[in-house]
Amino acid sequence: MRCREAQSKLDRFVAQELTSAERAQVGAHLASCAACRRALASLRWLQEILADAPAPPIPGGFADRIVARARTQQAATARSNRASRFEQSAWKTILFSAARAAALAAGLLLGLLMGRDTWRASPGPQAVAAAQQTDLLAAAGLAPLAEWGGDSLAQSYIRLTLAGER
Amino acid sequence: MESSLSDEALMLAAAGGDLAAFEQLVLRHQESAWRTAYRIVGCQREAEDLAQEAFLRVFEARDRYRPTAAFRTYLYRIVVRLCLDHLRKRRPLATDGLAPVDGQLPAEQQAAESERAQAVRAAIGSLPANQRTAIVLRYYEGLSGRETAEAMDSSVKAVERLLARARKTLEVRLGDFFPD
Repeated sequence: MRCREAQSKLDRFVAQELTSAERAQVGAHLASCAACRRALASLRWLQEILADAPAPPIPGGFADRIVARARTQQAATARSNRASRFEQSAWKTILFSAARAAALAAGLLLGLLMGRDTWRASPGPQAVAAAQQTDLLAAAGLAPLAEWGGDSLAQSYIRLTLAGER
Repeated sequence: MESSLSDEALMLAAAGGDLAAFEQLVLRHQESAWRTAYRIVGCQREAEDLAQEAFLRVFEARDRYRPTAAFRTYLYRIVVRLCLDHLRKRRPLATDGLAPVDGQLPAEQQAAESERAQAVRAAIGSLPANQRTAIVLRYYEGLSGRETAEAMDSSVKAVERLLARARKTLEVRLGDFFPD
Protein backbone atom coordinates (compact mmCIF):
# COMPACT_ATOMS: atom_id res chain seq x y z
CA MET A 1 0.00 0.00 0.00
CA ARG A 2 1.32 3.44 -0.92
CA CYS A 3 1.41 6.41 1.45
CA ARG A 4 -1.22 8.32 -0.52
CA GLU A 5 -3.72 5.47 -0.28
CA ALA A 6 -2.92 4.78 3.38
CA GLN A 7 -3.32 8.43 4.35
CA SER A 8 -6.62 8.68 2.51
CA LYS A 9 -7.92 5.83 4.68
CA LEU A 10 -6.58 7.17 8.00
CA ASP A 11 -9.80 8.95 8.74
CA ARG A 12 -11.86 5.75 8.50
CA PHE A 13 -9.06 3.84 10.21
CA VAL A 14 -9.41 6.05 13.29
CA ALA A 15 -13.23 5.78 13.16
CA GLN A 16 -12.98 1.97 12.83
CA GLU A 17 -15.00 1.97 9.65
CA LEU A 18 -12.62 -0.12 7.54
CA THR A 19 -13.12 -3.78 6.77
CA SER A 20 -10.84 -6.22 8.55
CA ALA A 21 -8.75 -6.65 5.43
CA GLU A 22 -8.40 -2.88 4.87
CA ARG A 23 -7.56 -2.33 8.54
CA ALA A 24 -4.86 -4.94 8.36
CA GLN A 25 -3.36 -3.35 5.23
CA VAL A 26 -3.30 0.15 6.76
CA GLY A 27 -1.94 -1.22 10.03
CA ALA A 28 0.87 -3.03 8.22
CA HIS A 29 1.77 0.13 6.29
CA LEU A 30 1.79 2.28 9.47
CA ALA A 31 4.11 -0.19 11.12
CA SER A 32 6.73 0.46 8.45
CA CYS A 33 6.13 4.14 7.54
CA ALA A 34 7.11 6.96 9.93
CA ALA A 35 5.61 9.63 7.66
CA CYS A 36 2.18 8.00 7.79
CA ARG A 37 2.47 7.51 11.55
CA ARG A 38 3.06 11.28 11.83
CA ALA A 39 0.03 11.84 9.59
CA LEU A 40 -2.06 9.64 11.92
CA ALA A 41 -0.89 11.62 14.96
CA SER A 42 -1.71 14.89 13.16
CA LEU A 43 -5.17 13.61 12.34
CA ARG A 44 -5.89 12.75 15.97
CA TRP A 45 -4.56 16.13 17.12
CA LEU A 46 -6.60 17.97 14.49
CA GLN A 47 -9.80 16.24 15.58
CA GLU A 48 -9.02 17.33 19.14
CA ILE A 49 -8.45 21.02 18.42
CA LEU A 50 -11.40 21.30 16.06
CA ALA A 51 -13.55 20.98 19.16
CA ASP A 52 -12.09 24.34 20.31
CA ALA A 53 -14.51 26.15 18.03
CA PRO A 54 -18.05 25.31 19.13
CA ALA A 55 -21.03 26.77 17.26
CA PRO A 56 -22.98 29.57 18.93
CA PRO A 57 -26.24 28.58 20.65
CA ILE A 58 -29.25 28.10 18.43
CA PRO A 59 -31.39 31.28 18.17
CA GLY A 60 -34.38 31.37 20.51
CA GLY A 61 -37.76 30.42 19.04
CA PHE A 62 -36.14 28.61 16.11
CA ALA A 63 -38.47 25.61 16.18
CA ASP A 64 -41.57 27.73 16.87
CA ARG A 65 -41.00 29.81 13.75
CA ILE A 66 -40.61 26.73 11.59
CA VAL A 67 -43.77 25.08 12.92
CA ALA A 68 -45.75 28.33 12.50
CA ARG A 69 -44.72 28.52 8.85
CA ALA A 70 -45.53 24.86 8.34
CA ARG A 71 -48.99 25.40 9.86
CA THR A 72 -49.65 28.32 7.50
CA GLN A 73 -48.51 26.25 4.55
CA GLN A 74 -50.70 23.31 5.58
CA ALA A 75 -53.79 25.57 5.87
CA ALA A 76 -53.10 27.13 2.47
CA THR A 77 -52.77 23.67 0.89
CA ALA A 78 -56.05 22.52 2.48
CA ARG A 79 -57.90 25.59 1.13
CA SER A 80 -56.44 25.06 -2.30
CA ASN A 81 -57.47 21.38 -2.31
CA ARG A 82 -61.05 22.22 -1.27
CA ALA A 83 -61.38 24.81 -4.05
CA SER A 84 -59.98 22.36 -6.56
CA ARG A 85 -62.41 19.58 -5.51
CA PHE A 86 -65.42 21.96 -5.76
CA GLU A 87 -64.37 23.08 -9.22
CA GLN A 88 -63.89 19.50 -10.41
CA SER A 89 -67.31 18.49 -9.02
CA ALA A 90 -69.08 21.41 -10.75
CA TRP A 91 -67.48 20.56 -14.07
CA LYS A 92 -68.46 16.92 -13.71
CA THR A 93 -72.11 17.88 -13.14
CA ILE A 94 -72.17 20.20 -16.13
CA LEU A 95 -70.51 17.66 -18.43
CA PHE A 96 -72.80 14.84 -17.30
CA SER A 97 -75.96 16.93 -17.85
CA ALA A 98 -74.77 18.03 -21.27
CA ALA A 99 -73.96 14.45 -22.25
CA ARG A 100 -77.37 13.24 -21.08
CA ALA A 101 -79.20 15.98 -23.02
CA ALA A 102 -77.19 15.24 -26.14
CA ALA A 103 -77.91 11.51 -25.91
CA LEU A 104 -81.63 12.18 -25.48
CA ALA A 105 -81.73 14.54 -28.45
CA ALA A 106 -79.78 12.10 -30.61
CA GLY A 107 -82.13 9.26 -29.67
CA LEU A 108 -85.22 11.28 -30.51
CA LEU A 109 -83.85 12.42 -33.84
CA LEU A 110 -82.82 8.88 -34.81
CA GLY A 111 -86.19 7.53 -33.84
CA LEU A 112 -88.07 10.17 -35.81
CA LEU A 113 -85.99 9.55 -38.90
CA MET A 114 -86.43 5.77 -38.67
CA GLY A 115 -90.16 6.17 -38.11
CA ARG A 116 -90.58 8.22 -41.23
CA ASP A 117 -88.72 5.60 -43.29
CA THR A 118 -90.74 2.73 -41.84
CA TRP A 119 -94.02 4.40 -42.60
CA ARG A 120 -93.01 4.98 -46.19
CA ALA A 121 -91.92 1.32 -46.58
CA SER A 122 -95.10 -0.46 -45.42
CA PRO A 123 -98.22 1.63 -45.11
CA GLY A 124 -100.88 -1.24 -45.17
CA PRO A 125 -100.57 -3.19 -41.98
CA GLN A 126 -99.73 -0.10 -40.06
CA ALA A 127 -102.88 1.71 -41.06
CA VAL A 128 -104.90 0.27 -38.18
CA ALA A 129 -102.11 0.81 -35.72
CA ALA A 130 -101.66 4.30 -37.02
CA ALA A 131 -105.31 4.97 -36.43
CA GLN A 132 -104.99 3.79 -32.88
CA GLN A 133 -101.87 5.83 -32.39
CA THR A 134 -103.57 8.84 -33.85
CA ASP A 135 -106.13 8.76 -31.10
CA LEU A 136 -103.39 8.38 -28.57
CA LEU A 137 -101.33 11.10 -30.11
CA ALA A 138 -104.30 13.41 -30.49
CA ALA A 139 -105.09 12.91 -26.83
CA ALA A 140 -101.55 13.99 -26.00
CA GLY A 141 -101.67 16.99 -28.34
CA LEU A 142 -99.12 15.38 -30.66
CA ALA A 143 -101.44 14.99 -33.66
CA PRO A 144 -98.85 16.18 -36.21
CA LEU A 145 -96.77 13.11 -35.43
CA ALA A 146 -99.66 10.89 -36.55
CA GLU A 147 -98.69 11.58 -40.17
CA TRP A 148 -95.67 9.44 -39.76
CA GLY A 149 -97.62 6.40 -38.46
CA GLY A 150 -96.18 2.90 -38.13
CA ASP A 151 -94.50 1.27 -35.19
CA SER A 152 -91.44 3.46 -35.42
CA LEU A 153 -88.91 4.06 -32.69
CA ALA A 154 -90.40 7.53 -32.24
CA GLN A 155 -93.90 6.04 -31.85
CA SER A 156 -92.65 3.51 -29.35
CA TYR A 157 -90.90 6.22 -27.37
CA ILE A 158 -93.97 8.42 -27.30
CA ARG A 159 -96.19 5.45 -26.35
CA LEU A 160 -93.87 4.62 -23.46
CA THR A 161 -93.76 8.21 -22.32
CA LEU A 162 -97.51 8.57 -22.37
CA ALA A 163 -97.95 5.23 -20.64
CA GLY A 164 -95.69 6.44 -17.92
CA GLU A 165 -97.70 9.58 -17.42
CA ARG A 166 -100.86 7.53 -16.88
CA MET B 1 -43.63 15.56 25.59
CA GLU B 2 -40.84 13.88 23.63
CA SER B 3 -42.00 11.15 21.29
CA SER B 4 -40.52 7.66 21.32
CA LEU B 5 -41.38 7.14 17.67
CA SER B 6 -38.54 6.81 15.16
CA ASP B 7 -37.74 9.68 12.83
CA GLU B 8 -39.17 7.72 9.93
CA ALA B 9 -42.42 7.02 11.79
CA LEU B 10 -42.75 10.71 12.70
CA MET B 11 -42.15 11.65 9.08
CA LEU B 12 -44.86 9.26 7.89
CA ALA B 13 -47.23 10.70 10.48
CA ALA B 14 -46.39 14.21 9.25
CA ALA B 15 -47.21 13.07 5.73
CA GLY B 16 -50.63 12.10 7.07
CA GLY B 17 -51.19 15.66 8.31
CA ASP B 18 -49.86 15.31 11.86
CA LEU B 19 -48.19 18.67 12.52
CA ALA B 20 -47.23 17.63 16.07
CA ALA B 21 -45.14 14.80 14.59
CA PHE B 22 -43.33 17.29 12.35
CA GLU B 23 -42.69 19.50 15.37
CA GLN B 24 -41.08 16.55 17.16
CA LEU B 25 -38.73 16.10 14.20
CA VAL B 26 -37.80 19.78 14.28
CA LEU B 27 -37.09 19.69 18.02
CA ARG B 28 -35.00 16.57 17.61
CA HIS B 29 -32.82 17.82 14.75
CA GLN B 30 -32.82 21.61 15.00
CA GLU B 31 -29.44 21.78 16.77
CA SER B 32 -27.61 19.71 14.18
CA ALA B 33 -29.24 21.52 11.27
CA TRP B 34 -28.35 24.89 12.79
CA ARG B 35 -24.75 23.92 13.67
CA THR B 36 -24.10 22.48 10.24
CA ALA B 37 -25.50 25.48 8.40
CA TYR B 38 -23.56 27.88 10.63
CA ARG B 39 -20.24 26.10 10.17
CA ILE B 40 -20.63 25.89 6.41
CA VAL B 41 -21.78 29.48 5.71
CA GLY B 42 -20.16 31.17 8.72
CA CYS B 43 -22.96 33.66 9.41
CA GLN B 44 -25.61 33.22 12.10
CA ARG B 45 -28.41 35.07 10.32
CA GLU B 46 -27.86 33.22 7.06
CA ALA B 47 -27.50 29.91 8.88
CA GLU B 48 -30.85 30.41 10.63
CA ASP B 49 -32.62 31.16 7.32
CA LEU B 50 -31.04 28.19 5.61
CA ALA B 51 -31.70 25.72 8.41
CA GLN B 52 -35.34 26.85 8.63
CA GLU B 53 -35.69 26.55 4.86
CA ALA B 54 -34.33 22.99 5.07
CA PHE B 55 -37.06 21.97 7.51
CA LEU B 56 -39.73 23.62 5.38
CA ARG B 57 -38.45 21.74 2.34
CA VAL B 58 -38.79 18.53 4.35
CA PHE B 59 -42.35 19.51 5.25
CA GLU B 60 -43.28 20.36 1.66
CA ALA B 61 -41.96 17.01 0.45
CA ARG B 62 -43.58 14.97 3.23
CA ASP B 63 -46.05 13.25 0.87
CA ARG B 64 -43.17 12.06 -1.32
CA TYR B 65 -40.89 10.94 1.54
CA ARG B 66 -39.76 7.33 1.39
CA PRO B 67 -37.61 5.98 4.26
CA THR B 68 -34.92 4.59 1.96
CA ALA B 69 -32.24 6.38 3.96
CA ALA B 70 -32.07 7.53 7.57
CA PHE B 71 -34.03 10.75 8.10
CA ARG B 72 -30.96 12.36 9.66
CA THR B 73 -28.94 11.83 6.48
CA TYR B 74 -31.88 13.06 4.38
CA LEU B 75 -32.04 16.28 6.40
CA TYR B 76 -28.28 16.81 6.25
CA ARG B 77 -28.40 16.43 2.49
CA ILE B 78 -31.00 19.20 2.20
CA VAL B 79 -29.08 21.49 4.58
CA VAL B 80 -25.83 20.92 2.67
CA ARG B 81 -27.43 21.52 -0.71
CA LEU B 82 -29.08 24.77 0.45
CA CYS B 83 -25.84 26.00 2.04
CA LEU B 84 -23.65 25.23 -0.96
CA ASP B 85 -26.19 26.83 -3.35
CA HIS B 86 -26.29 29.88 -1.07
CA LEU B 87 -22.49 30.19 -1.06
CA ARG B 88 -22.37 29.95 -4.84
CA LYS B 89 -24.82 32.84 -5.17
CA ARG B 90 -23.25 34.97 -2.44
CA ARG B 91 -21.23 38.03 -3.46
CA PRO B 92 -17.44 37.53 -3.59
CA LEU B 93 -15.89 37.80 -0.15
CA ALA B 94 -12.91 39.80 1.04
CA THR B 95 -9.64 39.16 -0.75
CA ASP B 96 -8.37 36.86 1.96
CA GLY B 97 -11.09 34.40 0.90
CA LEU B 98 -12.42 33.88 4.40
CA ALA B 99 -16.07 33.15 4.97
CA PRO B 100 -17.63 35.80 7.27
CA VAL B 101 -16.92 33.60 10.23
CA ASP B 102 -18.27 34.89 13.51
CA GLY B 103 -19.47 38.06 11.88
CA GLN B 104 -22.20 38.21 14.45
CA LEU B 105 -20.62 36.67 17.52
CA PRO B 106 -21.09 38.99 20.49
CA ALA B 107 -17.95 41.00 21.20
CA GLU B 108 -17.54 39.51 24.65
CA GLN B 109 -17.71 36.02 23.20
CA GLN B 110 -15.07 36.82 20.62
CA ALA B 111 -12.80 38.26 23.28
CA ALA B 112 -13.29 35.22 25.49
CA GLU B 113 -12.26 32.79 22.78
CA SER B 114 -8.73 31.57 22.93
CA GLU B 115 -6.25 32.42 20.27
CA ARG B 116 -6.35 28.78 19.22
CA ALA B 117 -10.13 28.76 18.83
CA GLN B 118 -9.98 31.88 16.67
CA ALA B 119 -7.26 30.30 14.59
CA VAL B 120 -9.38 27.15 14.14
CA ARG B 121 -12.39 29.18 12.99
CA ALA B 122 -10.28 31.18 10.55
CA ALA B 123 -8.64 28.02 9.21
CA ILE B 124 -11.98 26.28 8.61
CA GLY B 125 -13.35 29.43 7.01
CA SER B 126 -10.43 29.48 4.61
CA LEU B 127 -11.28 26.08 3.13
CA PRO B 128 -13.18 25.72 -0.15
CA ALA B 129 -16.87 25.12 0.52
CA ASN B 130 -16.90 21.42 -0.31
CA GLN B 131 -13.83 20.67 1.83
CA ARG B 132 -15.30 22.68 4.69
CA THR B 133 -18.57 20.75 4.34
CA ALA B 134 -16.73 17.41 4.51
CA ILE B 135 -14.85 18.54 7.65
CA VAL B 136 -18.05 19.78 9.30
CA LEU B 137 -20.05 16.63 8.61
CA ARG B 138 -17.26 14.20 9.47
CA TYR B 139 -15.56 15.78 12.49
CA TYR B 140 -18.18 18.07 13.95
CA GLU B 141 -21.39 16.20 13.21
CA GLY B 142 -19.81 12.76 13.59
CA LEU B 143 -21.24 11.25 10.43
CA SER B 144 -19.58 8.12 9.13
CA GLY B 145 -17.70 8.18 5.83
CA ARG B 146 -20.71 6.67 4.06
CA GLU B 147 -23.21 9.06 5.67
CA THR B 148 -21.00 12.03 4.79
CA ALA B 149 -20.87 10.84 1.19
CA GLU B 150 -24.66 10.46 1.09
CA ALA B 151 -25.22 13.89 2.62
CA MET B 152 -22.89 15.42 0.04
CA ASP B 153 -24.40 13.35 -2.79
CA SER B 154 -20.93 12.01 -3.47
CA SER B 155 -18.87 8.85 -3.15
CA VAL B 156 -16.90 7.62 -0.16
CA LYS B 157 -13.66 7.89 -2.13
CA ALA B 158 -14.40 11.45 -3.21
CA VAL B 159 -15.11 12.41 0.40
CA GLU B 160 -11.86 10.79 1.51
CA ARG B 161 -9.97 12.93 -1.01
CA LEU B 162 -11.75 16.09 0.17
CA LEU B 163 -10.93 15.30 3.79
CA ALA B 164 -7.29 14.55 2.98
CA ARG B 165 -6.86 17.89 1.17
CA ALA B 166 -8.72 19.76 3.92
CA ARG B 167 -6.55 18.21 6.63
CA LYS B 168 -3.37 19.22 4.80
CA THR B 169 -4.56 22.85 4.65
CA LEU B 170 -5.61 22.86 8.29
CA GLU B 171 -2.34 21.34 9.43
CA VAL B 172 -0.44 24.09 7.64
CA ARG B 173 -2.62 26.90 9.01
CA LEU B 174 -2.72 25.47 12.53
CA GLY B 175 0.84 24.25 12.53
CA ASP B 176 1.79 26.57 15.41
CA PHE B 177 -0.56 24.66 17.67
CA PHE B 178 0.58 21.19 16.69
CA PRO B 179 2.91 19.47 19.11
CA ASP B 180 6.41 18.88 17.78
